[in-house]
Amino acid sequence: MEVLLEATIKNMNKYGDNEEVQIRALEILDRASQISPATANLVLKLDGSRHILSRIEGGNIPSKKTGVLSLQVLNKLCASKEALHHLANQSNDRFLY
Amino acid sequence: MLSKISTINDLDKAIASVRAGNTAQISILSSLVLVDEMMEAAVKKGIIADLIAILEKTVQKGSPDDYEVIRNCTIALGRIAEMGSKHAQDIVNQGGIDLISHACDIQDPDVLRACSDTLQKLCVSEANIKSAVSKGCVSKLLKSSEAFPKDEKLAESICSLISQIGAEHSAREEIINGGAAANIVSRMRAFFENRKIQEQGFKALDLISSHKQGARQVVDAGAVDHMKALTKKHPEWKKAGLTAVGMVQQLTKSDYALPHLRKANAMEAVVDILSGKAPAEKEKVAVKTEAEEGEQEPKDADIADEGVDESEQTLTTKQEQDLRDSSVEILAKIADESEIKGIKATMSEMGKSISKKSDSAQIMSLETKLNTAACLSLIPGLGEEILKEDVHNQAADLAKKVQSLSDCEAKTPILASLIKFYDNLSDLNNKEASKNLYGSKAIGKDTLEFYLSVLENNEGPIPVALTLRSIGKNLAMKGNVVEYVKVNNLDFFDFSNALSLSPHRAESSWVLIRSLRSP
Repeated sequence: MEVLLEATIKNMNKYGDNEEVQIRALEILDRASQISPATANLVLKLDGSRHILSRIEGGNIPSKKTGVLSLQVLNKLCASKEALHHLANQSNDRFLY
Repeated sequence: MLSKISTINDLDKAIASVRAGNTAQISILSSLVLVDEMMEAAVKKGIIADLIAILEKTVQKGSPDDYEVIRNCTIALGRIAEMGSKHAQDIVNQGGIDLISHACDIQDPDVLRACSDTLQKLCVSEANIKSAVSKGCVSKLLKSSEAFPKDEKLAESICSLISQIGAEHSAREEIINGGAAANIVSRMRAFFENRKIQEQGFKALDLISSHKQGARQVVDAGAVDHMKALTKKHPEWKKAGLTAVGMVQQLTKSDYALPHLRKANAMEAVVDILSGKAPAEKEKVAVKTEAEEGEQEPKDADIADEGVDESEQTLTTKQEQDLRDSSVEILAKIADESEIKGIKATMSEMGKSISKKSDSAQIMSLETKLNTAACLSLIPGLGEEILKEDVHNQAADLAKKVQSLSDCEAKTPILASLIKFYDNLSDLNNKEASKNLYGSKAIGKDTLEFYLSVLENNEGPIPVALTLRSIGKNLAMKGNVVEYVKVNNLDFFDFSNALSLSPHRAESSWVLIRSLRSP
């Protein structure tokens, strides 16, 4: 699973301007976030959440669908305080404060 | 613009002129009623009765000098009817359908088109459809329109009318008695490049095919061959493809049509439609907008609609599912089991010989075989047969060979077809009859290896998007999640490694979660 998520996130970064790739990748992260806490942690660890946060912070959300999916993933990842701390570390101050 | 520049005075003048016998003003009137407020005002002033009276007078005379007046009156009535069923019913109650039926005898393409357009707006209820049919509107229109085989707009309107009123059982019989199938197919052939005619035409043929005699007519008119030709030329016309599959599905229920479908190799066209082999897809993979697999998607109407306008030819998830179900039903009836061995042989042969220099005919043939294998795997019984024949082994070899090619035209379509093949095979892991076989042959592992190689080998956005879509779909299926989770031992992320946060920063994080949770 790790290698699959890693490849998914790598392609999210690589095809940052391709909305279809972004949507499909976000769907995978969304599903991975709810399979188990362990897979959700993988999304955090592999910087899937960092990619999402940086796009939100950069205002780089090409459509409402990608925006909503991004928020859905983040919301599912915020299942514990530890996860929340990790997310906070992955985002910049301007977004959080 | 009309709403900005026209006034009620203009309308009053037009109505007064028409009532005074100045029929030239009807064209102005029919334009003014395009504006909602004007139309309402005109109806209140009793314009329907005036138009009916003029139409009655002119239709009875039937002079070519009056054709324009007849046309304008009919158009104006159609526009009024379009605004609401109450107005449509008023027109019918005042004898509108009778008069249009007389007008349908007029050998003028513009008048006939106006009649056909207006009938579509009047036939909003079963009773009105029955009335139009019993007064001979349909048979007259079909007969009269034969004199104008080159009139594209007329063809478009008649195909729309038949596809609309054909939904009514009694109308369908009349349509069949009038020999509509041959008429429609000849128009679809004549206007091959008109997507609307193809969509509406197949919709009408679908309805006609549900009748025993109708199915025979549809086959004899050459609809199956036309469908094959259209699918080859315009595989990207997904809505026409969807309605064509509906027609074939009806035809498979006919003892007369079934052997014809097999003989004409309708399977090939159905496979092309189902597999979505389309130039449009080569540029963009459709973004679905509805809930998938029962999962909740964003409910915001704006979000749900997003993507629909991007490509008019994108099917909704429900339409895609309908297409898939219908195609599986068709293929189960017309597909030949021996096809599987042929596919295996082609894949094996091409796995060895495919190269950058492979010609387009070879590539197309391989693509078709892969798509056929992908579609056949959906059919109960044949899916298991594909597993038993180890077709996936040939697919794996082929995948390796294709991925070793440097960039060439063949790579993307073949990879896309292979992804669809593996995607459909993964469904077999969720079916009782095949899941043991799927598991014992370790196809899940092959699939994942292939998907990972696509994601890691810089194969381009289209194969990547298709692969991600398939992975996402698999992660939504319980049976396949297990396979996917097995790929690596999960390393539980140790949060103790996470950087410690200040209380202020941690508190701020809750701001994030609150903002994330608010709509």
